[in-house]
Amino acid sequence: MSAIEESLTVPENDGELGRLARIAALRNLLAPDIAVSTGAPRPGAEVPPELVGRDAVLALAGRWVPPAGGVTIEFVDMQVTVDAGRSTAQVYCTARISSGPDDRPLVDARELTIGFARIDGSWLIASVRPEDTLVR
Amino acid sequence: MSLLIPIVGRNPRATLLRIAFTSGLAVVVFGWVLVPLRLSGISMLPTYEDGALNFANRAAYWTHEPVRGDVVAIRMAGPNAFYVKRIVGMPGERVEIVAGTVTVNHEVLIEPTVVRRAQWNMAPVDLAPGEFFVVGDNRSMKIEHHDFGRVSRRRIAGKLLF
Repeated sequence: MSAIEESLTVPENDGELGRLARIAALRNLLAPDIAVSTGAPRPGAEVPPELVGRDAVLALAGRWVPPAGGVTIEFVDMQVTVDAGRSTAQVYCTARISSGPDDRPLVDARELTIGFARIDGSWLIASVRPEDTLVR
Repeated sequence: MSLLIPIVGRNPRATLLRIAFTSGLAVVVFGWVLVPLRLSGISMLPTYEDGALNFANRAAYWTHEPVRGDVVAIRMAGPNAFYVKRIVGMPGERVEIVAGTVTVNHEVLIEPTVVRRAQWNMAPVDLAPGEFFVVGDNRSMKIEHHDFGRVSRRRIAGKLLF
């Protein structure tokens, strides 16, 4: 999870090299057939409600323009369950998104279920599903 | 010894008991009953300003359920992040927004706390048992910038104290 936090956290005044490095690091954490739910569809939303495939997720990550002050991602309150065959796992956690260099005021928080699959000996993210608090 | 009398009183044991009782009461009240909140954002203008301080009173719903018009703290994610919104729809009702006006079961909802309305439109939503419909008071925002909608009763943490 800390590797995911590092690949998603954007420092202040981040440059192009840093962005490319993060996307490369993120690529190594994603399963090829990853399915990411972005939440219930909302009017005017630019992100589709579902992303399927590593390339689609990385394309979105590549298009995302973070604020100049940077973004910090933290996963807290984690509960982990591993299946009996130790080939899949689920992590239920809260993702806290903060911005700013020092005080880091909380921008957003989401409860997530992250599904992992063991592929070629490595645990890779196979699915991400947020729990919607307010649904229209 | 005489210098300590103004601090601990003539009965230090009683003083210590009072301190322990007050401390314990504070732990109970602020740990389980009143949740301190610092409001961030403009979705509840003009009722609450950005940065306003308040408390979510968990005890408000110990003896009765939330009612329409209540401003409630909704557990957003984890134990420390909350939405603050107003209840406009109750379980089992149909809520719709037409040209900025909220209707409940096809009747226009009178909302004295809403000052300006943008032309919001939302298709009818039927609330299930245990579901409430919440929205902020600031309707002059663009609809896509305002978080609102159905919320499960289990996520309503308490009613704002003031």
